[in-house]
Amino acid sequence: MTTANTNAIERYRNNFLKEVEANVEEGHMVKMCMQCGVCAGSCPLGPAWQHSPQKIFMMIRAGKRDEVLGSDSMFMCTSCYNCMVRCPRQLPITHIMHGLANYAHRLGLAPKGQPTRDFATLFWNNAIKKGRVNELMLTLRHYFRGGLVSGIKEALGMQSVGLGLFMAKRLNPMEIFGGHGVKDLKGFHAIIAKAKEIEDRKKGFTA
Amino acid sequence: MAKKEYAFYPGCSSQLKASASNYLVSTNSICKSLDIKLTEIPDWNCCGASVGYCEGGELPRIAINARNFAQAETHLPGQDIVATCAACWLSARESKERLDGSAQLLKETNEALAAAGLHYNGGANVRHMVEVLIEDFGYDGLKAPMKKSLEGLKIAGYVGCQTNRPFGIDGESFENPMYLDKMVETLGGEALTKYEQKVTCCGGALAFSEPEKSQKQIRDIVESAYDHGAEMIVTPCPLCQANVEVYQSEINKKQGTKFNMPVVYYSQLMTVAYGGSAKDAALDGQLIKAEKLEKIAGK
Amino acid sequence: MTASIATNQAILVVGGGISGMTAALEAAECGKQVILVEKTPVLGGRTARLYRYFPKMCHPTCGLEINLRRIKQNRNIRLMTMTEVTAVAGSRGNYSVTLKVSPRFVNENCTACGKCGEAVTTEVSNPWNYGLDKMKAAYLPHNMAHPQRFVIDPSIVGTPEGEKAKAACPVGAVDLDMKEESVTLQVGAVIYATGWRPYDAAKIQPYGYGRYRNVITSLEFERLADPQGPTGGKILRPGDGKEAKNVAFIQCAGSRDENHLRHCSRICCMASLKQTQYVREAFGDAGKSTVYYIDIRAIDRFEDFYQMVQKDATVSFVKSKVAKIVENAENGNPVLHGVDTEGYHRYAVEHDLVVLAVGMEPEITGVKLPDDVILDSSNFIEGSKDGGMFGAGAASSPLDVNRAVQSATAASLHAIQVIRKTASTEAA
Repeated sequence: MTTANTNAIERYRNNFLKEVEANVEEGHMVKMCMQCGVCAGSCPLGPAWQHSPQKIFMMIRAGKRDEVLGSDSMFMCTSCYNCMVRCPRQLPITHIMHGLANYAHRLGLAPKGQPTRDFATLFWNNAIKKGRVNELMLTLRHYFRGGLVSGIKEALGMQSVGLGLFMAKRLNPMEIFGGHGVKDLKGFHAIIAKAKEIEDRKKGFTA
Repeated sequence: MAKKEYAFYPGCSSQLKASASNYLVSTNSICKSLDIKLTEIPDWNCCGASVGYCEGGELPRIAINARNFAQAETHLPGQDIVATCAACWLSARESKERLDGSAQLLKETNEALAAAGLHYNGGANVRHMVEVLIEDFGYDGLKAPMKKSLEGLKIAGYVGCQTNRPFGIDGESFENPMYLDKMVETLGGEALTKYEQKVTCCGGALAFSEPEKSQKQIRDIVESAYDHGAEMIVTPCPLCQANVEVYQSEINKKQGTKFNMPVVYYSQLMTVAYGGSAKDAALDGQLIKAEKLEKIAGK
Repeated sequence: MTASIATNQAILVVGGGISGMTAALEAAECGKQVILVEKTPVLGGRTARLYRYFPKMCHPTCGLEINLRRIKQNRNIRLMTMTEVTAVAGSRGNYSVTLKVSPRFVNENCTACGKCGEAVTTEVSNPWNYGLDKMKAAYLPHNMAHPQRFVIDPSIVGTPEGEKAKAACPVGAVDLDMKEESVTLQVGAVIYATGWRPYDAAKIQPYGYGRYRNVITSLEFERLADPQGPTGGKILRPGDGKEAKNVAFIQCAGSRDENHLRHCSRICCMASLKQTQYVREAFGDAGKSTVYYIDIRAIDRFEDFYQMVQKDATVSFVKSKVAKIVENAENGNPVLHGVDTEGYHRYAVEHDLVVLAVGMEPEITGVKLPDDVILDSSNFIEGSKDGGMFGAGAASSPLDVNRAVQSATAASLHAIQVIRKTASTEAA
């Protein structure tokens, strides 16, 4: 268990709603939900969720911390914003889902090996490494995430796509040697480090 | 028409030899025809995209967007920031609205920016290329440079999510936006206005991580286009374009369908209507060749 | 035109629906002078266009008839139809109001014989049936219309059709030279009984009103059930005229929604519960009603009615705000998608017809009122800073007929107090 998690449990005890309000992006809006269910019905990946958004909001209020933060449900969000534009209480549902996923991920409670969790992590790390996304490395790393053998299999399965994109000049094999990026990489990294420092302090990840 | 100038935010996928390079090439072509001057924001960086949420968190994502704003404010003062990518536009605009809405957040963001000697004053105006075309030129204005009609082309306007929700194009509805249809009609094509999958999600980043689930979405999007007699799909979003075009062969393989539906950008349609060649429209960048459009371009 | 009875002792009542009629009568029967102005050619407002009232399921004709008779008998009420207020100046006890009177093109000689209507062939959209059908361009709005006087639609004035109507009139009542007039009156107090209008259902985009023909509003459904309505009281759906036996009612269509109306419209739950009984009345056990709701708000004594409907085997309830409607292209049936929050079951259910229980939007939304008038965040009238102008009925809050009448009586009493105070100040 991470220290941040132990601290959070200690600090908020039985009040998971308070914890969410304090530490999760747009978490203060969770209490506005009136359980109409329009988000659940609007989600394109609805059938794939264990818990729909409105159910998660109710679970938060009911203090079901382990069930919520250990769930893979938030990772089913495709960021389509259907729920958000239809919500009669204007809850920023998409952002809350992202926020919950981020919080669970940072606390080390999100399911291990959850594919979107892994891909999302890969994506961010890829993007900030050079300041711009290296699509080739992103693709390769994604397919080889499970090790060399399964990676080769998966990549072979998709090789017609990769080859097609290459032929269509839309995938650059030279990116394996670095690819594009921002010039002031030092400054870019300094900004992210500082932002992370501020956020971690606020959300209880650092003392 | 007076030359219009904008601070251009091309985004990662629009790079040369990146997945949406055909979007960039064709955008440059239409800008030439419309006398638009796009100046790249110096040293711009990735917007973080929606899927950056997991590792990126809140403030770091806002801070990197603010870095772009600060660069634009300093080097291209007074110019609207224009993005072609739906995700770039959304991330940037979302960051902008959060910063506009909270002095505390702006303060923290500037604290982060100061680490690189930058400062954001709050003056960014973030727009999508489609907004620029519709609001600054208007459908009549878009007609002006036309040299050819796209007559006879049946086109399904696939708007997707992020150019449509939560902000969308002013005056359009989330459930049935009409602007792509109107653009197609402006160019002389036949818009399939009853196409009901126009705002269905393509699966976004989950096309990578949850292929089965997103391919179900993509199948609906393509199938309905066929049902309505479409000859191609047009979209304003790079991820929509890539997902809907690229995975058709996968779906064919797994599910025995025979999808072969070209998916193009509005900018490619416009380039051809403005008399550009297939190369100007970057039609060589299509995985599934848009033959009918190529034919018009070749005329 | 002279304004003989108007003085600062008079009360202006704006709107001739159930609330305006009530407010006018209460004041007039207390001996006060009242000017009752109504925008349309008839009294009765939205109430006159209902098929039945809840909870007693009686017809509005009954209550309306009594009120109309009281109005006809009362010499203190001066009724002005086709009249709108364009400006209010002055303050409590001493207002100067400007009225715009639109031409009816039919004078008081009219005996409502109907010959003009027979003579013309032009048809216009029928607002009394919410545009579900058409009516002749020379018309009596409905059977209970008061005044019982025909109206010539302005679209045929100056055309041969207008001349035909004129020629057909045996009593010389058709006057095609009538012009719009402006009238200025002095009054001491103003009651806004301007009522409500159904929220524009087309704005609730996921439900496809306007795109799908078999998605209608609850007000349109009232007209379908009414024998005087476009289908003669048969519940036939607009798409293909087929009997709609399997009807879905969607609650909170626009209400309790920050994207639309932020308030609860209060009447819609009861209205839908009532309308399930129209389906039963029409089809017996073969009818089927499904109510999709967030929560049913049947307040105080209406709980009985709710329980009665719950016992009806033809009615079922699904606790869910419907996410979206798509149309089955083959049969035109609307298909409802959503998640039942009791058990989190995902559904995709087909119905013959969808009735959107649309919310109440104040009719004055978008209208410029005197600066003194105080509105709440939903544009309902709370009163005025100077204490001389009042909201009554659905103009003041989303209210059903019963509560609108109570509210109108209260507003009338307030207005009477203003007049009395003005009179005593002047006497002193």
